[in-house]
Amino acid sequence: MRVRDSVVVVTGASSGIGRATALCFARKGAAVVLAARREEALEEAARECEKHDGAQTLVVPTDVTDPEAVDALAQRAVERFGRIDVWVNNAAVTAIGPFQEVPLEDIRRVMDVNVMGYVYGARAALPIMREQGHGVLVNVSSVVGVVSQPYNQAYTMSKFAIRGLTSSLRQELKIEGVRGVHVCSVLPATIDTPFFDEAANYSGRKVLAMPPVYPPERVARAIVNMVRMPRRETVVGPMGRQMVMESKMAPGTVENTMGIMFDRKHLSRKEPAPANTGNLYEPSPDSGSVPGGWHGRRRTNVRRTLTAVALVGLVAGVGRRMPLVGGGRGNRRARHVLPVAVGAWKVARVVKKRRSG
Amino acid sequence: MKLMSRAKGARFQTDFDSSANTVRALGSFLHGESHRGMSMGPGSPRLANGLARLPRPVRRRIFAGMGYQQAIPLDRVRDVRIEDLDEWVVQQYGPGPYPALVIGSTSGAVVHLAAALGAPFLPQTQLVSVRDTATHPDDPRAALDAIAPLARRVAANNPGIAVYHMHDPGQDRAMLEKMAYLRLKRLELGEAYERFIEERLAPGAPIIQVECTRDWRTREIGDRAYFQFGCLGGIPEEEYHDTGERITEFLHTAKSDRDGWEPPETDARRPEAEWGFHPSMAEGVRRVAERSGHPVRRLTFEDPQVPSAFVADFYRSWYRERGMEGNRLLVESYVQWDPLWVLKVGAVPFWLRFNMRPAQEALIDYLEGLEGGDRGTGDGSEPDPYDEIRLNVFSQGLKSPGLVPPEEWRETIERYARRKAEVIGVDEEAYPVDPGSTMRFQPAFEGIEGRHPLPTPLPVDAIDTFLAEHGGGRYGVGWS
Ligand SMILES: NC(=O)c1ccc[n+]([C@@H]2O[C@H](COP(=O)([O-])OP(=O)(O)OC[C@H]3O[C@@H](n4cnc5c(N)ncnc54)[C@H](OP(=O)(O)O)[C@@H]3O)[C@@H](O)[C@H]2O)c1
Repeated sequence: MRVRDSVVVVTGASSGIGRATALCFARKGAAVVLAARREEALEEAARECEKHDGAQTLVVPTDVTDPEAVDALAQRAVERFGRIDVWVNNAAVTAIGPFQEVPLEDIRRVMDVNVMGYVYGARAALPIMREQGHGVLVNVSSVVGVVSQPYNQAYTMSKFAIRGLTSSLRQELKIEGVRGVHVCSVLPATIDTPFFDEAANYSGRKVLAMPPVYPPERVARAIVNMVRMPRRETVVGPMGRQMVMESKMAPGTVENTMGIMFDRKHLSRKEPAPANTGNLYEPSPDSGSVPGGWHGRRRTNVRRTLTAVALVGLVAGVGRRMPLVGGGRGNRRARHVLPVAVGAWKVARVVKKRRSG
Repeated sequence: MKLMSRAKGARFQTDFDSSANTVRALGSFLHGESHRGMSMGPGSPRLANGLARLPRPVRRRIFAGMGYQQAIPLDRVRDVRIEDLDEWVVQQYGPGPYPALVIGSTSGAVVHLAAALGAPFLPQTQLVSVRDTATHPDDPRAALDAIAPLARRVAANNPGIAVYHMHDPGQDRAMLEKMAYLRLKRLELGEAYERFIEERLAPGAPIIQVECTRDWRTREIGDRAYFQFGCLGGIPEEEYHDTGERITEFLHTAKSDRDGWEPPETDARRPEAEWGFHPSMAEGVRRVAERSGHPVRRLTFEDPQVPSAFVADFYRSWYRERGMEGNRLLVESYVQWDPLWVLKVGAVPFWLRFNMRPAQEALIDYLEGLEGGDRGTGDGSEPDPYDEIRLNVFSQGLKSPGLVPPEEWRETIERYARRKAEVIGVDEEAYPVDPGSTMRFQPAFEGIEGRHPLPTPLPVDAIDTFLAEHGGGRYGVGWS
């Protein structure tokens, strides 16, 4: 689909990936409709969009947990621009902590925003797209929609659910012979956004961005490309691709590795944090921004993490090869794991050289 | 299994904690060893001197670094189990059978009392420190909020204890920059202690329950979890909650960007986090003692500093009964004690809780009381001052309010010693930012001339006899 002159609705456009996506579409000449709760932040984002060839924008403050508000968002977009070509479901929140300590209502709220918010978005957008005979619905899931995280139960559930929803909708459209309407999901790895500082947190430990951290513009570009050439699913960030791939070959190993990495790298081991509801019920008071300030640490950590992944891959590979360890099954898979591990190790070496050089 | 527990317990232990050092010192003593280097590290004055020569900011950072290194990473907080710490405690002692047991509140005087009785000590309270590089030491509200989820978790995982998050930016400042203190106070006796009583005491051996009744204003932050701002030291409790000029001045010299402290509201007075005795544990002690035929004796006092005078005089009279002069005083502070060498050099131990003004006052009170006649107790008793007084003070890494400088310590002891007054094992230039302080004290004790054979332990009755003669009231201690 052509991006120039298309009409794009983005939820969660006041910050992070959503904001970067709105900007990216504006730069490519699309009209963008920006939705989230923080009006001022949306206005600011809209002004940034307009800097590019006077792109057209519309700001619609919306809480995505309110189905009527989401319907109204679609209506406003249609009223203003006559149609909706692209709808990006992106608004999301998280609540981190030991399972028994996260309040039930917080778990419910995460599901409401991350899952029901997407459901409302899809129900508002799809009829319009079917009517038009074309359109792309992009659901931003996460690598966490493939590889779960500990202490992040609701978020994990929601991101798995989004992939389920996306795939189910695709089947439905297929069966019904709807050709021009596409439903895709985008699975980012760790992205440098304010997301981590906004998380509801009961872990007692500061939430960190788990390295390696990629810039949000990368996800924005992936979403734009998704619209140009719709695909079922795309993963953003080599580390994410790596994990998704390895999880198909050695799911148990990757599950364990992610568990350990989350505990060691996603939650601080030296900075405690008060219990708080983050931006679950009220948006944060600041004016929103694209980056979250995690990028500087990226390169330092990239090599180390890749090395770790390489080692894990190696262990998984060796484990699979040795009947005593791996149970003797899946030798075929091992052939894939080893090159992946070696690949990661090579990348790690290059990064190291670049740093020292 | 036990070995694992011991390793775990040791990992959670904080090396400079008063309880840990009571246990270590008595464990060493009962094995015939000294408390050199806090029974762990090297006791090398040469190494200590090397450290003292480093620039002050570097030494200051060494303190913070030592703290950080002691603190457990936050992902281990969920593994903290009081049973592992208890297991560590009981592993410090031999198989017994011991003629007596001391249990409850810690105090340096109690270390020496237990040593005189040949008794091990089981602490009610133990310290686990956790990493915290984020909280501003002078922001107690933020500290409470940040640590509360962790304190609550430890309490939830350990039903038999109360957890105190103790935050004292006065005295513990150097440490607080990178860590937070969780004091775990037993509310029940616990299985390891119970087994210890059943298996390692001689038949009929008395159990001395030490109860420090000191309390402090605190705030409940969860089930069995409390926040305590400040602690016993150079700053009166009131001043922590109503900071004035002295604190502002201190904060400025400590290069803080704050002018005062604004602690959170408190909701009750509770047993003081580090030294206070929580009466809940008494029931368990009573039950197990009764079942296994051990009488329970109680030693009570209002402040950990209080029993120092009693224990000093108790030692003095013991020495005299053994035909020694008992005219040599060794003043120790915080965890720089050594029950073995006190006996070897025939010194009367007088313990200071820390190196602050209130400790100095306690020492002066004691020495003044020995001047006899109208000075001292004013009861017209014969003067009985010490010939020699030696004093060693602990270095806590910064000049906290109420800190007494070495010159003043020297003047104090010179005023009361008849023949010789000496500050020993202290690098006066580096003090109180002397990271080698814990390596220095014990060799200095060993350097005191004269050697005496180790006496056989006293029976607990000796306390009865001594107090009957001198009166516990005079010392501020209760004995029943
Ligand atoms: N950052 C990462 O590492 C990462 C990795 C994988 C996937 N993702 C996914 O990427 C998407 C965007 O996340 P991000 O990293 O950009 O996080 P972010 O900067 O925190 O953005 C989240 C957005 O959601 C909006 N939002 C939250 N609750 C809302 C509600 N009830 N109604 C409407 N809008 C709401 C927020 O705006 P208001 O507060 O103004 O409403 C904000 O614009 C999410 O789906 C996330 O799961 C992120």
